[in-house]
Parts: sequence; structure tokens; C-alpha cells
Amino acid sequence: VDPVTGASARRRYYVRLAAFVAVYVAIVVPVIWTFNRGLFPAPPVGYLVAALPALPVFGVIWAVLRYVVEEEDEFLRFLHLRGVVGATGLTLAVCTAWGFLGRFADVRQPSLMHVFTIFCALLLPALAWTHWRSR
Amino acid sequence: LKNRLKVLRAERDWSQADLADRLEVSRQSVNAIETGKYDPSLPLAFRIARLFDLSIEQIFEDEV
Repeated sequence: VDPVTGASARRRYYVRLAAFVAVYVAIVVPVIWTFNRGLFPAPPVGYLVAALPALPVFGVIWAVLRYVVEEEDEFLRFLHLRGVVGATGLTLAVCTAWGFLGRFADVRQPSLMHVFTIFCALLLPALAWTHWRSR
Repeated sequence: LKNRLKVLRAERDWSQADLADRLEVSRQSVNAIETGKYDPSLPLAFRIARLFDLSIEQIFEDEV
């Protein structure tokens, strides 16, 4: 627990995660909006704007690593790492399988830009499951 | 690692939450250690031993 704010490491972690996901949405929505209306800037500015959604992804990774440093309870740290590694592994497996299905079985594929969304969609249940198992 | 944490806690009439407070860890940690799902680090094992005024070997038993 932070002696100044009184907030636990886990609370700070969730606040940071929510903040970076909010920033991600705040960037992605106008990027898609401008693209769909033909207002997207030409390169090289266009390259920078298109890569902007990756910035909050770095923020999420930072928040995940920061929690590992700040969490003083070693078992909660272990649970968290297990959830994150599980979600990362599942994301890799899902994306790899989807890639092969697209190449060899003509299955429709999402764009690579959705990998972060897939990771987030798997991270939340992975963390919930690891905590539920040890309740 | 097998351990006597549950017995030692019961002897003092402490709940898992009581023990967790004294060790400054979460209740899930105490539960996981008691049930053998998680082996504590050496520093935490020393803290547990100090709390019960015992040696680590008197609380934890190597299953080998």
C-alpha cells in the first residue's frame, strides 16, 4: 500500500490499465473516423498517425511490468504473472492458428491491428480465472 | 513442501485473515501456502517462522 495515497498496487494497476485502454480507444476512434471519410493524412504524417494506436499498447505493457515491481505480496505477483503469461500464450496460439487457417483453409482473418484487442479480451478472463482458482 | 501452518494457526485460534494481517500478505497467500498450492519464498518463510517463534524446519517439511 502506498503510504501517501493509501492505494494498493493492484488498484493502481487497474487504474493504469483502464487509463491506457481509454487512451487506445480515444486514438483508434478518430484514426478510423478520418480514414473512413478520406481525411487520413498522406505519408509520412500518415505513417505516424497510423502507428499512434501502438503507443498505449506500450503503456499497457509498462503497467503490467510496473505491477510486478510494485506488488509486495509475492503470491499475488505470481498469480498475476501466471495470468499474463497465459493470456500472452493464448494470444500467440490463437493468432498462429488463425494465420494458418487463413493460409490453408480460406478462413477469413482479422487484421493484425486487432491483436491487442484479442490480448485484452484474453487477459481479463485469464486474470479473473487465476484469482478465482486461488480465492 | 508440506507444512504445519494450519495447525499452528488453529492452536492460536487465528483465522486465515488474522494470520495474513500479521504476515502482511493477502488471505489468498495464506490459503495457498496452507493447502500446499504455493511454496513461499525464503524471506516469507523466515517471517512465518519468526511469527510462530519456530525454525523454518519446524514448520515446513521437505517431501523428498
